[in-house]
Amino acid sequence: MTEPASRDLFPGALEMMILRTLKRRPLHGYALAQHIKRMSNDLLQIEEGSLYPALQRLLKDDLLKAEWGISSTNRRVRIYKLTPAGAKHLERQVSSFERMLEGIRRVLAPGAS
Amino acid sequence: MNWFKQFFSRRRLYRDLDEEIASHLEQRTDELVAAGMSRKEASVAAKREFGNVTLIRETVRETWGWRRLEDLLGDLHFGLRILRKSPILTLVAILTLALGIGANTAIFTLLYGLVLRSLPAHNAGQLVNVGIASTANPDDMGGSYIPYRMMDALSKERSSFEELSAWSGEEVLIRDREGAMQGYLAELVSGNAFSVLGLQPYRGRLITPYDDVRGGPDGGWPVVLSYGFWKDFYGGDEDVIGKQITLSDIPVTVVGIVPPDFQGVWPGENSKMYLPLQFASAMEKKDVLEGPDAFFGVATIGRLKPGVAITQAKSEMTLAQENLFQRFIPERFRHDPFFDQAYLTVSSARTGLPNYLTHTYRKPLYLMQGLVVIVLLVCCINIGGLMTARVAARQQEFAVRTALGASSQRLVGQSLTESFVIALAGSALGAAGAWYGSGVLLRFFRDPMMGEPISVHPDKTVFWITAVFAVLVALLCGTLPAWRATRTDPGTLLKTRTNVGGRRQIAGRTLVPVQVALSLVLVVLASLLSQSVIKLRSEQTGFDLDHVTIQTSPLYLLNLKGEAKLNMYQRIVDRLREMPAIDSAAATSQTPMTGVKITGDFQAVSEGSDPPEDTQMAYNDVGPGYFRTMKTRILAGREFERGDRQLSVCILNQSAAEFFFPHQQAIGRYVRNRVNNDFQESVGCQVIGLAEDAKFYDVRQGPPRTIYLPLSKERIDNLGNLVFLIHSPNKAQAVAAFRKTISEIAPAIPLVIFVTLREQMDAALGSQELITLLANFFGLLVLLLSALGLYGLLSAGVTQRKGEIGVRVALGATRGNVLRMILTEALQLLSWGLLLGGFGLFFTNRFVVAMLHGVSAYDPFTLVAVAIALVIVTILAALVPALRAASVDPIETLRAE
Repeated sequence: MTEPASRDLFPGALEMMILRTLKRRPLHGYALAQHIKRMSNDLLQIEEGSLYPALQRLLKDDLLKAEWGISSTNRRVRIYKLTPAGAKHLERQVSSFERMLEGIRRVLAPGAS
Repeated sequence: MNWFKQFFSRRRLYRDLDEEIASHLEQRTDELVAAGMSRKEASVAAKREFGNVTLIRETVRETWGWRRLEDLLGDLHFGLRILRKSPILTLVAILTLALGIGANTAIFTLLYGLVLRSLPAHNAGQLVNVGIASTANPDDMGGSYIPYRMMDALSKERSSFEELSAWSGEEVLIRDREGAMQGYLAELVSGNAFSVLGLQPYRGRLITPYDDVRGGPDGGWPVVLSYGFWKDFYGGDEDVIGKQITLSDIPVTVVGIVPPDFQGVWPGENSKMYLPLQFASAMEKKDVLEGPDAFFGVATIGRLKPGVAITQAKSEMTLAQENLFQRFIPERFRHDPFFDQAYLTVSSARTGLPNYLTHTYRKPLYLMQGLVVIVLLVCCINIGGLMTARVAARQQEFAVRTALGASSQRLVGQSLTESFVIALAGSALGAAGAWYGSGVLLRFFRDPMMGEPISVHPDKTVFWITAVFAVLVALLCGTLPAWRATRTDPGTLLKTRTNVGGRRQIAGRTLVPVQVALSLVLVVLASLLSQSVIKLRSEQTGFDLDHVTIQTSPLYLLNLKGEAKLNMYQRIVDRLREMPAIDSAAATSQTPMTGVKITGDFQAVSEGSDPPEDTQMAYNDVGPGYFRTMKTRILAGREFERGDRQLSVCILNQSAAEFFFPHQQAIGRYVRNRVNNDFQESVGCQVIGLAEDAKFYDVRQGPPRTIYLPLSKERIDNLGNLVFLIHSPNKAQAVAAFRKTISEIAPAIPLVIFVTLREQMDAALGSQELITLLANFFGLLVLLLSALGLYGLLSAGVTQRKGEIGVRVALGATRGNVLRMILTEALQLLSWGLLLGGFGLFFTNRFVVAMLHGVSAYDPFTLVAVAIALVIVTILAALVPALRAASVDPIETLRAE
């Protein structure tokens, strides 16, 4: 059985990346997946499918909105947009993430122990 | 977002998701094709990159938190399928529950309506009734009236009550469209009556203190209609307010309507309208309330001051009563035994005022409620047992599910869902039945003196009680099988199909003796009650129950006195006798079988030095032709004829004659009475006839010593309304004859309900008949249920023990041995049940002892007969599984291992 890729990341990482990406502009699911893949230089092994449960979670928490629209390749797609609540959530997440990262970095820094 | 809305639109959400995923895959495929892959390869690659679609959908489903609910729906679906697979079992379970719940709801409707329901008043717990009781008459039906002037004084002088109000039931007459007078029950109330209750009008206004003045208020007498009367009589016409109508020849104006949930203050009696109390004087054409001689009885409803307990009010009344009696009980009554030993009572009026119905039916209703609760319990036990047996039969399934990882919580949920479906269906059916059924039951609840059937309607409270019953039942029925289901051990069950080793405890084993015990109790009680009713109904009464019709027309409205009154009654009786099909007719003061005891103190004249101690005997003032009409035989002498209008002659029944003149000729001898307040005229009469013994008050009691007096000039004015007795082949002929007669002689007089003596007696036996009917019905039901339960249990047992039985047969047990083994097991269970039931009977018998007639509560014949019946039923129930066990093929079962 395939483990969901998000297991490889820490909880909330995928969501954070989705929110960050959508902050710039609304995107549909496929474009979003491609974008994240590209931006991470394929370093993060994200299974494309795992994007969708994450999107549903965000939809449920009202951090995103979704509307059906037409893609550049003339296909019916669902376009996701950040809500104001989503923007605020992203800010909080990013700052707490940075704090966490800082903490980890200190622990891992050579000569600390 | 609204969770529920989302739940119900979840199919769309799933569709969206599917479409989105499909779109994603297509885009990826297109891209890969553009990069040079073949379409087939590209499609596979896109899917691989995407991951497990089903898992994603599951995850999304969980994300939205629908799993539990969807599981529940799944359970429901599965439960329904399982139930559909065994339709007979399901139907039996549902019908059983429907009967149980229906009976409970129907009886509770009556119990609630007559005994438990609070008046729809503001803070009804503070309402009290002040009444007079007497140690001289402990069986008083709880009329509890006090003189109006006493109430008035109490209201002004006493500190426990905020206010006291007066209620008095009267009949008013309205002319119907054909011009015949019709009587309707009205309540005359003091001006503050509605404000004491804190009642708001439904339309218009209610009676106020300004209405309750002597001679009526300036605008004329007002009347407030009951909601039901407004709907029935005026078709709910809004314009009725302000309309003038005529009540008992007095013009009144409709001013308002009381709210629908207010049906008067006497439970079960449906008052049609409310008038000021002073209207009583207008009807009587003299001041009956406040005149110097006034002794107008009213029922009181008072409101206690906040913080005052009922006991405080009671002690205040005890202190005040002597003074109050002195002032307000007229001299002429004060030495009457009733008033001599009278005392004031204060009791809660939360549920209304005491009356015949509540007095008579309170205990039977509680008894019936107890009975049907037991039945419901048995139903639950039984369905629980059936379901458990089913769980046992499905153990394989449960084991597999447990092995596959189903949590025990899921299995319990499954089992509870199934019982819930059954409980829900049963309750719905039962409630619907009860809605209709309580009306049928009501017919058994009658006031023998009252024409109209009593009115009790199911309402919200009853509905909620039914709902509570249903939930309790679901839990009771479901818990046992659920518990059983969780105890399934997947390991052992998956290993073998049948188990040879050690006998397993069969589920629900202990339930069968309990059921048998309950059915023993119910069937014995039912049988004792039935024997009593049969004996009562076939009891020799000494008169013709079936062909005598009673009519009590309110001829008092004619205001005739003395000879004129006697003549009027004689004229009607004479005319009746001329009518076709009428064998005979007579007037009398009392009809038998009303349950009312009337005694006087009579003695034989010149009976030596020591007259008997107990000289109380029944008496009745009867008109000429009474004995001919009642078909009570005159054994010697003659009966009263038209000329007998003086208290100088009388007729004795055999018992009375034997009592006064043992072994002597009674005819021609003299009897006299001791004057007391019950019987104020002195009598010294010559015995002119000897009548056969006849029952009087009550069919349960033997014929009392009875003296019959003629309708006499001396007593006629004290007798009030007389009763017409009409002997005809059937009731319709009597009704027709009386209608014609009264329209000729006294067209202004309204008719009241016609009943035969039989109907009057049945009414007096009403609750007993109903209890008997219910006990029989439920006794049989429970018997059937225990047979079914036993059968189910033994069947499941045989299935479970097939292997064991196979081994036994293989080792040499004969068919007879196996048969005996199963039957013995059944009879063992039965004997435990009988033992338990015996104990049960010992404790329950006392509740019905009072209703038994001509049969002992421990009638050995009944006990033995019921026990034998139970043995037969047990053997029948055990026979099929036993035969099945006996035909087990040892080779086959052993091969299956």
